[in-house]
Amino acid sequence: MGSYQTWLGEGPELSVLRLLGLFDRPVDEQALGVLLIPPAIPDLTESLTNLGATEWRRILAKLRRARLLAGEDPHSPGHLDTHPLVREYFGEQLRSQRSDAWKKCNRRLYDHYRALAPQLPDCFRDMEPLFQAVVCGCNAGLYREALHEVYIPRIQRGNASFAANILGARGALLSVLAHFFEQGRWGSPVEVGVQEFSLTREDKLFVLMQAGLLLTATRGVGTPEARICYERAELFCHSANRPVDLYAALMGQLRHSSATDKLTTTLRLAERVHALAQQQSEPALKLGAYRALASTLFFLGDFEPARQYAMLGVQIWRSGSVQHRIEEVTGPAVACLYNVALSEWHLGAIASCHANMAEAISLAKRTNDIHGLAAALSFAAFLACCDGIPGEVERLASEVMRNVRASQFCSLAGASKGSSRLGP
Amino acid sequence: MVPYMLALKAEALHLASRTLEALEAIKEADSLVERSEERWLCAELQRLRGVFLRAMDADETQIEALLCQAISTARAQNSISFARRAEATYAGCCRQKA
Repeated sequence: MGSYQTWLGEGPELSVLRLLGLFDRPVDEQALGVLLIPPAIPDLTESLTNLGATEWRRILAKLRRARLLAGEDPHSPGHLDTHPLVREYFGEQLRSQRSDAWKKCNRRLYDHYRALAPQLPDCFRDMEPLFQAVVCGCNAGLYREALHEVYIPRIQRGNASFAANILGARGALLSVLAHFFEQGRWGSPVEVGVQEFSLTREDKLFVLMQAGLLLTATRGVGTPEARICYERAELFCHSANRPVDLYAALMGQLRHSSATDKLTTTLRLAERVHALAQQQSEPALKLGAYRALASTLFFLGDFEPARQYAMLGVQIWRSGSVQHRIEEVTGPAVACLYNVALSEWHLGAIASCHANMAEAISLAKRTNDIHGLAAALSFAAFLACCDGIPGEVERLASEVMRNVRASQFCSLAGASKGSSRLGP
Repeated sequence: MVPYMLALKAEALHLASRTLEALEAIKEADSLVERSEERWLCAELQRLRGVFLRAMDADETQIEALLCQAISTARAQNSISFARRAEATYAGCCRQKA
């Protein structure tokens, strides 16, 4: 690539290649136009601004002859594309050697993409420009603005977690969220940037919790990066006195622990969650704590206490006292219901077991709780298997598979074979 | 749930007349249970080991001991369902012996 650079020499062709390095996909005319309009971006677009159409075509033709630019795509006229290695080389060069120009370009693209999307997009296609806006905003150093003006209000719609829960775009969200962290380090939200634009302590806590949740949802409960996020988040919670976030951070660690540690270690975490919930006397926290205790005790083989804790959770949920919802991978009420059912099966209360399992499945469907639904269906398949009803096992396993295919949750990949470890 | 998956695998291997491999799967499940303390399936693993050993014409005392252990584990955990399964297997074993 260096040879091409020497051969081309500093000039408009290299500037075009550097501009293409700003994108991870073919660039459309509109986005490119945003970068080329006056005033020129110093150290980058001086030779490209106010260029005539003939001269522009000549530059592109030269790059195409050198095979540094893909031929024109008749289906996407005006789009420019190049090989990912070319993109990577010149993009990195722009980022590391001309960082002011890199930031100015990203600033323009940030404004362009956030204006391009509807205020509150309803589908993935309409949401895409907002994902790009956040990435560009972060690249421009506008971390706080990208978070508070795009990611939270428009992508996730505040507490609704719209893109994650309604659109199911968890993988795309995770790619976007990665830009709020130091390169490749999920436990370290970015520290650089001007004070005015950088993330506050609360923002860092927010992105850590989001990352923990999305990493768990997309890579599985045992993913070490998620644990790192939650452990770091716990430190922020203690210093900022944030009990609800502390609860979520502990639950995140507990999920990871349930897949990787001895269950007695997980139980200690569940007891910490329980103590916190009792101290706060908050129904949502208590519901989650009972679910954590029930699930851990069930897998430890302590079925009677598991049933009791799960029942306490179900009672809280049925009382309607849970006013606010805490974002979790699996809804706690669904988990309590299937834990009651599983414990009851062991304890011989078969009729009640089936009623509770049916309610867990129905609630998961009603609340669009994809993880909860897959877990409940898997456990129902386990019960059908134990009861010797192969037709029912097949039906439930097929339903789990449909769920897994419709989502991107590797943690559920084993579910179709009977059930997977879908603990707390 | 991995021990449960291994138990399913073991049953499938046994049905395919690959009982020696089925026992290996149970051994792997046991070692996972030991490491993770995931004891909810212990009684069933003990029962399955008994079933597989019986299919291999192993020592009857050993098989009986395993099935009794499965019943006792299930009872200690208050698992009526697993206890019934183990008792049924044990009863089948005794009937055959008689």
